Amino acid sequence: MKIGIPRILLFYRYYPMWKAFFEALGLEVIPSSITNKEIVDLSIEKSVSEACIPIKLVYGHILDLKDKVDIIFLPRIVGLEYRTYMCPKFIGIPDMIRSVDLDIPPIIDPTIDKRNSLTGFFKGFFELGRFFTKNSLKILSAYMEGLKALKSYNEKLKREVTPLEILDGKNYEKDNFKIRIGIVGHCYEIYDEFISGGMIKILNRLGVKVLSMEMVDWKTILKEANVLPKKLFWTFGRELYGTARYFIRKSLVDGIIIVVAFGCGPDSLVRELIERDLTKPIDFPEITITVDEHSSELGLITRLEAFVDMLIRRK
Amino acid sequence: MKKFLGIDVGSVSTDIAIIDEKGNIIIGLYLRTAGDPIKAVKDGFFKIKSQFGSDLKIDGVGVTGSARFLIGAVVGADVIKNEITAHAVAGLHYNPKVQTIIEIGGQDSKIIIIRDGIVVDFAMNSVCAAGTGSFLDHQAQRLGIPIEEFGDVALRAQKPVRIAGRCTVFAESDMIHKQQLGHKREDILFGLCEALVRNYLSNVGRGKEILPPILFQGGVAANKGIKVAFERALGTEIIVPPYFSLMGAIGAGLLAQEANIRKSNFKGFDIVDQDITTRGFECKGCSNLCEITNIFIEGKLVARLGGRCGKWEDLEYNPSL
Ligand code: SF4
Ligand code: SF4
Repeated sequence: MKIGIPRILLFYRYYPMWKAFFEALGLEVIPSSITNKEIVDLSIEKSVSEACIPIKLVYGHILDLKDKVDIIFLPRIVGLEYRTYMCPKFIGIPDMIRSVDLDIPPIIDPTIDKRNSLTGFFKGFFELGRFFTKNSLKILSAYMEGLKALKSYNEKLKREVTPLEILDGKNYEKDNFKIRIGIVGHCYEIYDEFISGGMIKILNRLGVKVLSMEMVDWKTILKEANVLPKKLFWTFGRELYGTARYFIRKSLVDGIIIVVAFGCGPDSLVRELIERDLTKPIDFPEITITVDEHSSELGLITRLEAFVDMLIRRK
Repeated sequence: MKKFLGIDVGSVSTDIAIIDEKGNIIIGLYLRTAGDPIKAVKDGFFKIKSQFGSDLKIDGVGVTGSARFLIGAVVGADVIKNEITAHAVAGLHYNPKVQTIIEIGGQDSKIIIIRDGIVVDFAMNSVCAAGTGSFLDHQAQRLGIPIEEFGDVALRAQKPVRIAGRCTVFAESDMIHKQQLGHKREDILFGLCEALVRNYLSNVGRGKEILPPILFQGGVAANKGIKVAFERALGTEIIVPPYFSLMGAIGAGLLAQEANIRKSNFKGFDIVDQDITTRGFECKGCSNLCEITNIFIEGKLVARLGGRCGKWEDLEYNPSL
């Protein structure tokens, strides 16, 4: 049986784990294509226009898998930490997809919810495994395989390699960087080259070493966000804030780029918080790049170039 | 004395400046791009040639503006830089103490914040036309006033009208409304200036610390009404440099000088007599389907633009197309 995984949302965070898990259960895993024009066009046609671009792209990626697989994996990720939610759109995405007549293979959408119990993660995978086998032991050992794969993926990331390099097995970066920039944004924005306009490669070409949240231990990042007087109740907000604070406080970067999806309420709020608390008070260099399906590549290059020039001239 | 050529190719205007090592302007040209940047540059080169002859020696060429990659390839640029850096360099050259640069051109606007001679922050407007020159052109046309007189007429305003200027469409209908109410033309014009300034400050200037000295650059700086509206809104003097509309080109020239080039790549002013063509095609190498542009001079392929993967940059690469 072939299971398809859309290359969007938390793909960049969990794909190695999902792949190892399904393979251990004897499935063939097929990721959707890297976002291309056809996927984008289909996404815009089928999705609601108010959605943010990442959510829109889910439609196109699902359609890309349509004729290639028997079943599509689209987890309902409710929460990844204690009493904290994911973005509401994440929770609703399987239903949003089902509500449109896309003529696609069945979607399997286990609930992954760690809000109230430590075992929430495993429970989700167990529920998932039950679709394919009655053998609990087999599911357990597949889960262990998954964790192992995730661990080794995360270790590679800590060596400041980007998810794209690991997933594509390529090495894009050269060593002699003039400056370092931290990108603060969701993995599905930064590493989807349509959404980000290939930001990382543009920066690499300009002689910039790019750091992202994925290269730092997740727990460390979340701890970093605990300084906020009022706990943000969605994980993504904590991730962005924590990442920015960690990069700045540890002097890991010369400047930060905040990536905000057009129409994403949580993102724009966190951006204000980051500016107010972290960058403005100490004049730390920062720019915000808003992404949507209309972003122009030239506009992006101009902003990035100017930002890099500014950092180099500041040094 | 060494000479440097700076070109700023925007979507509305193409500006060309030749400067000496000290940054003094030897010649400055302001041309309409009219959708054909190559022709605009050729027209400019033609003028330079007829004034100085074709053996004017150029020691470095810098290109900026939205068509910088295309024109950079056509003329043989030594430096290709974004507009923010170019404007900042030119502004700093004119006034080393500058802390804020307001730049409003035909199709876009920017703010550059400088402290101690270094750019520390900037912003560009992305999509909205309500804060740019084309907005004013359009409204001037509607009121039957030549754009050159816009500012002078606006300054005669006694009771400026408040025009809701959040976006071009609203501003326009509000303006028509005010016209029908019988408001004077100059009052409406100055109201428009104030609307543009409000717009600029709340979009591009949002959250920026605007401190003097403030330079006002770009084509719109010709409009005295806007300058005064900025002065009133900010409560401080606004300086319009003498070559306000050429600052991008001057900056590009200064960047070429700064780059300390040994031998310039400049192809010379004679390219005006050459046949320069571009031909685009869609690469089907992968699903990105990039638009690739081939640039030919006298039928010979000299450069290629576009392509995310960079494989087309190698001019030898030539699969049967
Ligand atoms: S966090 Fe923002 S960008 Fe991400 S899915 Fe939710 S709304 Fe979209
Ligand atoms: S230029 Fe490169 S990235 Fe673009 S379509 Fe061709 S092969 Fe793909």
